[in-house]
Amino acid sequence: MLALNEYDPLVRNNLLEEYIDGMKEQNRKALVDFYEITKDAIYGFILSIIKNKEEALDIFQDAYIKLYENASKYQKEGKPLAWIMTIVKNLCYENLRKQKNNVDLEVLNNVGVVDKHNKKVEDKMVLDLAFQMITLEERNIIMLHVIGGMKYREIAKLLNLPLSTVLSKYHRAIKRMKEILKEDMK
Amino acid sequence: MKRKEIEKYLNTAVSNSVPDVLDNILEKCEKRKGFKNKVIKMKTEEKKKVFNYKLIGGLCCLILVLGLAGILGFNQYNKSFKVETVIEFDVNPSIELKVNKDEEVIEALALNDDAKKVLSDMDLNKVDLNVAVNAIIGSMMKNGYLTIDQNSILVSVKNNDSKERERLQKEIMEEINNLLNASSINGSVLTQEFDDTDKNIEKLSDDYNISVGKAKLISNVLAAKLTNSKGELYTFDALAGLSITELNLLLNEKNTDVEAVNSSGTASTSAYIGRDKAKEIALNDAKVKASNIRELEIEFDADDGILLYEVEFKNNNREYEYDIDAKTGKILYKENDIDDDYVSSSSINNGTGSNASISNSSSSSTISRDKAKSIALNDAKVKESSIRELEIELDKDDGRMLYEIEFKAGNKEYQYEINAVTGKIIERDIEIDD
Repeated sequence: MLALNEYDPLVRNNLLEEYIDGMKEQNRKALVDFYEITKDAIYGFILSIIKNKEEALDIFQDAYIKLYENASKYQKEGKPLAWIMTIVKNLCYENLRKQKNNVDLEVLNNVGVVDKHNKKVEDKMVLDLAFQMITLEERNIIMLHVIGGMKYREIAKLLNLPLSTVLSKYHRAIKRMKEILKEDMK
Repeated sequence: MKRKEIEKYLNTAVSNSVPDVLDNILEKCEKRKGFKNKVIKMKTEEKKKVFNYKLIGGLCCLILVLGLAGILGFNQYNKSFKVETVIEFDVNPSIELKVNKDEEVIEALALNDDAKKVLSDMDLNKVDLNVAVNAIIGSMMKNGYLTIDQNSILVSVKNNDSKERERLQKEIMEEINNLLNASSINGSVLTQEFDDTDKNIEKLSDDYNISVGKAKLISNVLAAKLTNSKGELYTFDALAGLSITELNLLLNEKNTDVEAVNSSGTASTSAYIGRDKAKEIALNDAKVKASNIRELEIEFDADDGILLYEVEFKNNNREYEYDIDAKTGKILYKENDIDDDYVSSSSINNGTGSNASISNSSSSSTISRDKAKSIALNDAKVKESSIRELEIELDKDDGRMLYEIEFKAGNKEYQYEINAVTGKIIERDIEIDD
């Protein structure tokens, strides 16, 4: 099965709506197919907000349960990814609020940054680098665009940002990662 | 390191780290809501049965009649009504002709509103194919669809006999070229094979509301793995809105031979502003002299169904990027940034250009650049005289104004994000610069 970002957007949307329809009918196969096609995008997006791997894992599972349970509420208007990512985003922020009840917004905006002492040595060099060097919004945009295959326009809507901001943030974040990697390879 | 590579890294990194929890999820979903096997809906079954009783009588008659007709006139029918070839013409009007073995038109279909205008009162029934082509091309020119600016036409042919198909493609191409030349339009004809029953292409054609022939052309173009100026593969989405002339132009510009598409002539560029004009627009906007710029790159590109020129260049310590609408000359996107590779005697830059306007508009409520700089320097405990490659940008993030400050000192690289209103340090990152 192709990953979400390898599809043409319209084909992708039709496919996702088909699976959501199937989940609405409580079809097991539809949920399995839906999981396979969306797992990278959803996990990547969660990782761009949540720093703790175990929490990310919990949210990841909860996300699918919630999507399955709420499939009947999806309004067919050709924007399945926006619906999916909104649910995922809300779960992440619910989790953050639970974690730190009295947190002020400034802290909330920075919790996604990977704690250097916590860094596990896995083949996620790039990911870790990305997490350290770019802001929460930049991480969101990169994950949604690169892993989720979402268009800048879709991302702008989802994150409530002007299109030009999404574009410039994306370019800046990629550029920053480029710089870091360049130095890393020396 | 290219952007594509970074994206690829990211893809692999995420894909390798996704936990496999499908079984868990299935179990939980089953517990909470359950699964149903595919349900056979009894209601529709019953409905069908009722219908069937009513229909059976009529159906019998119909079969009888058809059977008789078959015996009496089958040979004749086979010869003159059997569709041997399907030909689609796309300019933007899209017209489909169904043609029999004698190369007579059995049916002419207008596939969109423009096509209805072209066909209007024409009766092409039983007309020879070449006469029909003449009439259609003539009407397209008369109605202003084929012009000096929009000079390309796509001819898609379906015939199970590949020799026949190739012969027809060639003949129609020649015929159209002759007709266009006679009206002093330097036409360009693209021909390709297509199958109007191909489910994938049909779906794309439905989804994007374009003809099957055009959908096929775009997928042929995509199959050639063309990349845009950012090095990304084109998507169907980006190309679907282009006219045949524009698609043709893109192919010409990219200098690519798409195997499945034959072409004659070249696409007209007269409707577009051209490279020089695009360059001029970008330089004027940047208020930069042509003689001062370095590393100029102008690329022809398409995105969201719009043809554009991507203009990139450097001037002093800044690099510029413009996307300019190839038809209107309108600037669709621009960005200018500090050029990291730039080496100059005065390496400290206070940031000018696009950022300056942000700083002006909000200067009343935000701290100054110098103040932000000194907050960062104090925190880093380095002297201003010892820093290199200072970059200060005022930016809006999460609805807050913040300064992004980067500099190097000694063997370290510092990055700060400072709240531009309160002066509070939001993020700090210090790394060994090697």
